[in-house]
Amino acid sequence: MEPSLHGAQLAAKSSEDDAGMDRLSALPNDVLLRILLRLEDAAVAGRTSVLSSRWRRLWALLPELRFHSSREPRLIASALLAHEAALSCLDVGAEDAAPESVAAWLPVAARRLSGSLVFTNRVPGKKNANEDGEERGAFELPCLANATGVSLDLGCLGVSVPRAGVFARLTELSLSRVQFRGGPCALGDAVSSRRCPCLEKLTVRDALGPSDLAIRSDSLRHMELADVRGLRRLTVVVPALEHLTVVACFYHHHPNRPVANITARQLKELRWGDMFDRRSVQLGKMKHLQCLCPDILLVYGSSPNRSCIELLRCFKVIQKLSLTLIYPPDIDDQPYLLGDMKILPGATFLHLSLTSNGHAFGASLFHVLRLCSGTRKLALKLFSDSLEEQNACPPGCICVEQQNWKTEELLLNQLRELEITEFRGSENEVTFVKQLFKWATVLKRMKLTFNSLVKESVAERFYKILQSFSRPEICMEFYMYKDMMEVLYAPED
Amino acid sequence: MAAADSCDGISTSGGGWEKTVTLVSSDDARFEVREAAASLSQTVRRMIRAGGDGGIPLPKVDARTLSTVLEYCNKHAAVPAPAPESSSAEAAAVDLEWFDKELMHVDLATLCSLIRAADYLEVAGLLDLTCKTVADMIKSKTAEEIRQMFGIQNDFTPEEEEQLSRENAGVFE
Repeated sequence: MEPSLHGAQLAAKSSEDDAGMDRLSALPNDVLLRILLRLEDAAVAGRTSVLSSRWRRLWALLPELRFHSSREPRLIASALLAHEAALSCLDVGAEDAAPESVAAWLPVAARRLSGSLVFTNRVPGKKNANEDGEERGAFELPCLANATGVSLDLGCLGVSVPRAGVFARLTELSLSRVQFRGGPCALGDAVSSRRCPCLEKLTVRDALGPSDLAIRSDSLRHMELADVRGLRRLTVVVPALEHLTVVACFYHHHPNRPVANITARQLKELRWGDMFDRRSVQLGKMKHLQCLCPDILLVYGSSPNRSCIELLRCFKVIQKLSLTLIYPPDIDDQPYLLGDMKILPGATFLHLSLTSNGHAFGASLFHVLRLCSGTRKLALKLFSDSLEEQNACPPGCICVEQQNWKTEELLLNQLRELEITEFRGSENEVTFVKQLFKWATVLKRMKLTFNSLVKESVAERFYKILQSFSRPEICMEFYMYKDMMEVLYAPED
Repeated sequence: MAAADSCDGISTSGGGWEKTVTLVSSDDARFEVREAAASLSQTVRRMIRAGGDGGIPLPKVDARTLSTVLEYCNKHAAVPAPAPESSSAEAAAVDLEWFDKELMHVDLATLCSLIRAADYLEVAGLLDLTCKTVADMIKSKTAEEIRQMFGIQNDFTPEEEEQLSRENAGVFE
């Protein structure tokens, strides 16, 4: 310790009654713990133990411990062993941790923890270590018997899921950037009701394996599988499931067929951004399904939208249908693909996201609207990278060849509400909105939000143009961004 | 359920009437405060509900500290809830942040009194603000610097100190 210590001691003594009086240490324990908690760093809090005997064991009573920075993670085990109070939250951050160092503290945490665990292993310069097929070292996940929430972002470390033990209190589990080891069925078995009786939310993102995932749970409500590479067979028997997302899992196994069997009678929302084949993917009865969000639709391209179209054919009506249309930047010599889509489920609320990359997009939206002409509410989101995006489409591009939509009849005689976001005022956008007002004969309300880069003078111009298309019975509201905030735009006449 | 003689009424600048309460500090100073502001203290809120006369006694808070606490409460209770979409919500938040920062420009003794008062009165926002202020003072300082700043007396024997540094070496150093 510092040699000047005893001098300081004397100084403190001599001024005890005046300004030097130690009012801080005199505060009650729970207040001092609040202060230590506000340090938001267990190591800094722990170092206060040397201040005086008053502070000696205070840090050990903290209900939450956060370890960030790239410190040697083995020390976390020592700290956890010295810690005394019930631990409701443990948050550990590491830089490129080795599996052995995680294995050094995680079992201690499993014994001590009675709340949530968050572990983030940052691997600089490597967003996704699965790509290169590199096999990273693995550690064994202990059974976290008393944890209520577990969120592990492993920076692509390998983990073997325990084959025994009950996660008795676990309600939320999230695993990202992880390579699963220990047999193809281990994960499904671990998260099923027998061993996770309370689990309500399961998220697996950016993972390598398992190839066979079978989940049988009575408690799960929410499940998301995204980029689970190597998945070949998915079985979901979850009667209470309300939200299911499967994105980019089976694509990695292309061209083999996806094999899935989903039994989720209470399902409300299905997002299936993945391969789909009616012969091998069984969607059981979903009487309560309200929202369907299939894979993206390419308007032009070399690979047809077979999966998306086939999934859409499974449903006759749906409350909310969410479609994403994409024009690739360079579409010359590419065939038009939407022609394959001949039927859509009847949807009350149609949500269309469009990335046009500067192309004339009226024809594709016309096609979709014609197949879904009974919709009562339309939300149109126009994605674009910049304001100058009109220039992206070269002169003579094939996108302008399809002009029929401007003259063909279309009656949207149910459409009452229209919501347009990210409007920039390109010629394509204005032409389309003008047509839309003609088709939508009973439109009552339109809300339009300008892109955040649109300046007020530009907004004013389009405000006037769009007003001129409108009819008196239509209530129009315009919004624009000011200082990053969306505000109502109403110019004075 | 609203009570009793501790509640008076004053006219607000807007011309309407707003309910007020009288708080009495340990040194018998009386503060007339809008009930909405006083109610940021859970302790006071309970006492208002319980009713009583002659003002609400707060025997653990002196007048000087109480006036600062009430400055905080008045400011934080005065903020109307603007529409979440309007830009004034953000402006109000920035203004509050600035106010809080200014309020924390006090000496250590006052800061500790404020912590005690916020803890006793259960003004959650102020307790958090004051604790965070102390935490920020502790951060990135050596043990000796912290001791000197707060007048903490090192009461360890040399043997204890040696043991501590051995223990901590494997954990926090």
